[in-house]
Order: sequence, then structure tokens, then C-alpha cells
Amino acid sequence: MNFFSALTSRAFAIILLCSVIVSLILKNKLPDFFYYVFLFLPIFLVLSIAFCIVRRYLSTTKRDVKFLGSMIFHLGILVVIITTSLSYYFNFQATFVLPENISVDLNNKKFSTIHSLPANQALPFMVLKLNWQKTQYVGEGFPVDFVAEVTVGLMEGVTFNQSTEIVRVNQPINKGGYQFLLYKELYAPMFTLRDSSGDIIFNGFLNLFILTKDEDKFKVPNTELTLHTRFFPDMFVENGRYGTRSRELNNPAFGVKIYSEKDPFTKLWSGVLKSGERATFNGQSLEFEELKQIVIMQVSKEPTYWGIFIGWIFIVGGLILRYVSFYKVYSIFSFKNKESGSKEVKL
Amino acid sequence: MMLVEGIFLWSAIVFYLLGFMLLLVGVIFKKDKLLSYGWILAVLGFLSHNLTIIVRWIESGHAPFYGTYEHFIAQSWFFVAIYFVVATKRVPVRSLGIGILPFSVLLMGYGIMSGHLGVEPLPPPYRSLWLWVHAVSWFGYGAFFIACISSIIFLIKEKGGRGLPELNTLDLMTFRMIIFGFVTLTIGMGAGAIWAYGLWGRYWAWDPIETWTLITWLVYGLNIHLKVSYGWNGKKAAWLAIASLTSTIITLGGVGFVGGVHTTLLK
Repeated sequence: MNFFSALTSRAFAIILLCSVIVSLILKNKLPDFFYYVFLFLPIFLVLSIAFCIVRRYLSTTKRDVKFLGSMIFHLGILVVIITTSLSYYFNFQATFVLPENISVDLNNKKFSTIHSLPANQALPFMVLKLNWQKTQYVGEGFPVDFVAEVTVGLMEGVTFNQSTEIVRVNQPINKGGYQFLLYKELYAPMFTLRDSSGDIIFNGFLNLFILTKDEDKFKVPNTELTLHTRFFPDMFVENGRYGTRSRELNNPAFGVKIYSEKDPFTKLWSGVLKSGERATFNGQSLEFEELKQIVIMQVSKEPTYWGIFIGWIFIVGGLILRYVSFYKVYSIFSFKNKESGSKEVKL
Repeated sequence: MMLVEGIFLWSAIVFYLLGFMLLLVGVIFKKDKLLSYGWILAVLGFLSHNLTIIVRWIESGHAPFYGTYEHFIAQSWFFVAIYFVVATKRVPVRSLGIGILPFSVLLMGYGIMSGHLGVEPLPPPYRSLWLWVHAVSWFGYGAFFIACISSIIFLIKEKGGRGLPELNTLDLMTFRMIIFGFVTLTIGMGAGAIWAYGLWGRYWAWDPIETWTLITWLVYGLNIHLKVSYGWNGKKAAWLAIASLTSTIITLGGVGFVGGVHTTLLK
């Protein structure tokens, strides 16, 4: 058996299929192994499926609907494998954390992360700024929708285009070939820590990940302090206990507990701070200056997306052609023409 | 959980369990009357199950796809729904209920045990029409489970089991269920990818459920290939369908809780 006939044999296709299954099972345990396996498997899969399609097409004389379905299904798989493999070389993906009214570009590592960048491509120049975001709540403060106004600046060729866009979750906008998606809405308080002489030790935003239900925990950079915060967007006090009436930003305040790493069991300070208020402890002071809205936005460029979509349509279409009985479908949509007695198809 | 919903839910569980017992006794002792009664109880259970879903839907304002409880109540509904589609007109196949009904009760019980019975509105990311198409893949998992039950019954029948459907019927049933499951899983996976692209800007994240769904898809693709290309029928095909269910069980029952983008659906 020569190489070509081995490559186009059904046995080889089955072996490849089994290899893909085994390598996917091992993927989480052996990521390095998986990486090398996946350098070669797509090549063999593409060759095997492509040659099998050609060989079957040439050797089959009865090219009926079922045969056509099988061909289209395998063509779809071929398209998906090729486009997903190419995706690794062409796709761009980044995440922006956008605090209100602060312009962020891709060089700002504090607020942006690049997940993938096409090989040999320079970093695209894009600047995003959150103007405002609104969240719709229902019942006991469950968010059901959020929308943001974002200024998007993008270098296209030699011109820098800037526009203000409304972005909703699940409804991305497209600009200059990039897709801008609203992913999450958060709040970030700005805290300033001063030493006994009033010099600033830390001044920055703390991103809240857990809203209202539990505590967030932050290590203050360059200090031995840890802040445990609890966010009350709509604070109330009842019998000396604090809580929040809703998740809407009507009366924002922070429950703050300050610990030192040296003695993690003793609170240096605990209480509730509203905007402009400060806590003093051991000669130092911590001020809650302001609260900013934050949105997390994803930016992506996936030129191979349409290939995957078309591949999927081929796969589903091929399966339907191959396995759905057209006689039954035909009989559903057909009826006897009373005058001529012949069958007509009405769709 | 509303009182009305609770009543319908527990009625469904009781009807399913009683139906299972009657079907089991009917198959073991070859009593057609008990099989008929078992079927009627299963129908009543399915009606109660439908009412549970409807009440939950009205209460929450969305299809019951969010959170562990809703996830498993809906999932078990998909499983039983396929059983009814298959067995309503094929009386001998009704005995498959001895596998489907108790498994559905287990799924429902697991949902109840999760403790998250409260009603919550659907969070913004899940407010997409693609969620509906994505949920079609549950039909696929249900079909794979029925294929496994049918294969087990095939092996029992082959060893001389009485009061069971014909071997050819079971073999054909297994293959048709695998085909149906494969098509619906394909549709569900593709819809999930399109939805993810509109939500996160990428169509595949290699999270544990996605990886295991792909494995399941490939495993059943292998089933079809071996049947079509190599003529694997009968005993071999039955053992393969039983072994293949492992991937479905891992996808549905295990990896969803490890982490990844699907975890929030299973809180």
C-alpha cells in the first residue's frame, strides 16, 4: 500500500479520528503534548479528508442525494479545520478595562491585555474611552441589561477616526474590521493612602469583582496593608447595621476593614466610608475619593469567522441531506391536484 | 420555588417512579397490562413535568435554562420528550422507559439538591436568541442516552431476555438515536459558537465543557463511521454506544463544575 492509498483509506481516517479524541482527552493534563500533536493532526486530517472526498467522488457512479450529503458534510469539516487552523495566525483579541472618562490604548498594560496578535503585525492603534454606562435592574437588584457609551478611536491607514458609539451586551459594534463587545459592568472606587506626614503612598482604583454579596480583598501595592471591602450601592443603616437597598447607585458607600500582613487577625480600622470620607489608623489615612463606573470590553478581529460559519452550515446541511428522508419531507409538502390527479409540490 | 411548581414537580417525580416500577415488573413478568399502566403513569409524569416547566417559565420570565436546578429540570424534560416522540407510536419500544424514567428522576433530584431553587431573571449575556438554538444540543444528549438504554436492552434480549422489543428494532433505534443526537449536537455546538462570537468576540474558548462536547461529537462521529463504513451492527455497535455514553456523562455531569464559561449556567 503506497502513501497515497494509505492516506485515503477509511482505516487511516478512523485512526485519525481516534487520535483527535485521545489528544483532546489528554489536552488538559498534557498541554505541551497537545500543542505538538495539534501541529500535525490538522495537516493529516485535511489531507485525509480532502483525498477521501476526491477518491470517493471519482469512484462513485451513484451520486444521489445521500452521497451529495456525505460530500457536503466532509467539505464542511474540511472548511472548519482549515479556517480554525488559520485563525491562530490571523486573529486579534484584546480586553480593555475602561474606567469612566479615562482614555485607554493598547500600550496601557494596566487597563488592557492583548490575548492574541497576528504574527508580524504591529500593534493596532486604538483608544477607547467610557463616557457612561447604565445597568437596568429588576426585582431585588438583578441586572438584566446594560448599555454603555464609548468613544472609539482607531487608526485606519493614515487617518485617525474617532466616533462615539452605544454598545449593548450581546450586540457588538464593528469598526475598521474590529468588533467591539461590551462584556461586563463593574464599579471601581478610588482610594488614597497617605502616611503620617500627608505624603501619598497609594492613589488608584480598585476594581470590584464581587458586587454587594461578599467582600472583595485588595493588597495595597508597596505596603503591608490589605483592604477588605464590601460595596453598598444604595446604603442604609438600621440598628447600627449597614446594608444596601438595591444595586442601583443611589447612596454609594464602602464597608472597609484594614489589616496588616504582620498581624492578619487584628483589624487596624473598620467602618463605612462614603465619598470624601477618610479613615485614620496608626498615623496613616485612607480616603475614599470617588467611585467610577467601569466596563470590560473585548475587541476582536477574526477574519476566519465566516469560514467557520459556512463550514458549520455545510456540516448541518450535509447531515440533513444524508440522513433525513426526503420522501417524508416531500410527502408533507405535496398534495394531490384534484383536477389533473398529478402530484404537485407546494412549498 | 412556587407551591404550584413544587406540586407539579413532585407529581412528575412520583408518576415517573411508579411508571418505571410498573414497566419493570411488566417486562420481567411479561404482563402487557402492567406495561400499559406504566406507560399511562409515564404520560401523567410528563404532563406534570411540562406544567412544572411552564409554571417556572411564567414565574421567572424566561425559559428554564439558568442555574443548576433549571438546567437539570429542563435537561430531564428533553430526555423524556425524545422518549415520548420515539415510543408513542411504537408500543414495543415503551419498555425503554425502564432506563429513561429513573435517570430523569435522578437528574431532577440532582437539580433539587443543588439548593438554588430561587427564581432569578436571566443575566444580560444570556439574553440572546442563540441560547434557544444552543439548547437544542440537550436533545442530542437525550438521544445518546436513549441509544445507550436501547443498546443495553439489545444485549439483554440477545442473552434471551423476554418481553423486550425485537433485536432489529433495537439496533435500528440505537443508530437512529445516534444520528439524531449527532445532528442536534452539531446544531447546538454551532449555535453556541456563533453566540460566543457575538458575546466575547471568539467562537471557541476550550473551556472543559466545550472540549468535552467536541470529544462527544467526535465519539459519536466515530460510531456513525464504524456503522456506515465497516458495518458495525448488533453486539459491537451496542457495546460502542454504551461505552460512548461516558463522554456524554462527563460533559453533562462532571466538567461543567470545573470552571470555564459554562460554569455560571450551573451555579
